[in-house]
Amino acid sequence: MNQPASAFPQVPIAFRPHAGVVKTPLQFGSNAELVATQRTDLQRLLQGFQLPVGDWERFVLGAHDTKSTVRTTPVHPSFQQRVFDASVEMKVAVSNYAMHLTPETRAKLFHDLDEVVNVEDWYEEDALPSALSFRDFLKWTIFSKRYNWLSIGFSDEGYILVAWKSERALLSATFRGNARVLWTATRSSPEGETYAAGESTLQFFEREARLYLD
Amino acid sequence: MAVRPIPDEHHVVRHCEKRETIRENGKIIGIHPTAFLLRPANPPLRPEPEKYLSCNYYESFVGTAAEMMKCCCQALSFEPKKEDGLVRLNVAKIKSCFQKYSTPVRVTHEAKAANPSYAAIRPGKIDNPIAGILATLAVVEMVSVSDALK
Repeated sequence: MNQPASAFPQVPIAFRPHAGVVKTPLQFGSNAELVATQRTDLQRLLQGFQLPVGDWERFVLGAHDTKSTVRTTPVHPSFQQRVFDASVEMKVAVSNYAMHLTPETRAKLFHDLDEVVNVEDWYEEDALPSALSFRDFLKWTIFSKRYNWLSIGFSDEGYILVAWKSERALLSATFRGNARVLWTATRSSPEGETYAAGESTLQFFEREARLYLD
Repeated sequence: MAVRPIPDEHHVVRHCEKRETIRENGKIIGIHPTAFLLRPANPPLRPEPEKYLSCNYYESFVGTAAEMMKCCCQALSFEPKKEDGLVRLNVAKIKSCFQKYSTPVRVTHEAKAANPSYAAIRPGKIDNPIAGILATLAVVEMVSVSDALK
């Protein structure tokens, strides 16, 4: 059974001085590497425990002490890391729904995410994508069986933006992560353009989409 | 510097990030309405929510259409990403969109020392339906930053 890391603030790790491996004096906060045996001990002791992902990455040992101490140091992820993590979080969501999606649809989702959520195109000050919003989009896509979206994007709040196109209409939607969708549609006809906008539940949005896309 | 209304037949150009564009086979074919919503506060970079939409006054530049678009791109106060979009909106059409929702709007040239072409769309309010109709009816041209800078 997994336990949080706070359940063992000090792991009783066996510290084995190894003159041949220790190149610099080991102190708290130094970047000195753990020797292989210590790593093995640490991994063995951590089996069954769950460390918070992302926030705690580095283990630091104290050397000039008779007993060993393990400490975790908080790490603030870089911009690149945050963008990568956001992308991975959404891809994990895709994998959660994998049984309902064809390999082609999964590949399209991954491709479209990589197109937008990348370091080259993302501004550092922008809010990162909302996983809740993305999950709403996945649920709706599976429910409506509409896999032919044009492209995806993200709003200033991180909500996913999706657009579909039919012969006579363009439909765009903002999935807000609360099972509701803000949408706008433009339909062209010989009489001129018709414009509509609304806010719907996920289920009702499928009925609206049918009006413009089928 | 003086704030002057922009004539109805003229245009303003607004920068949109790639994530706000609708693309088909890599080409920009539309803009999501959220590109025209006022952004919420995002401290410390934006301590206050936006009160108006920043643009550049297209006709403040002289040259061919492509040259004027390029100048609008170069006038931005930051370096845009090459896949971002630039959208040109007609002032009369902007006003017409707001009128449909009985909402006042002013489109003004507000030249600044650092950016003489600076312009603003100052709406009484702007919500999803208004932003949607702006993205649909007021936009007369869309280009990517990389195309504008060619």
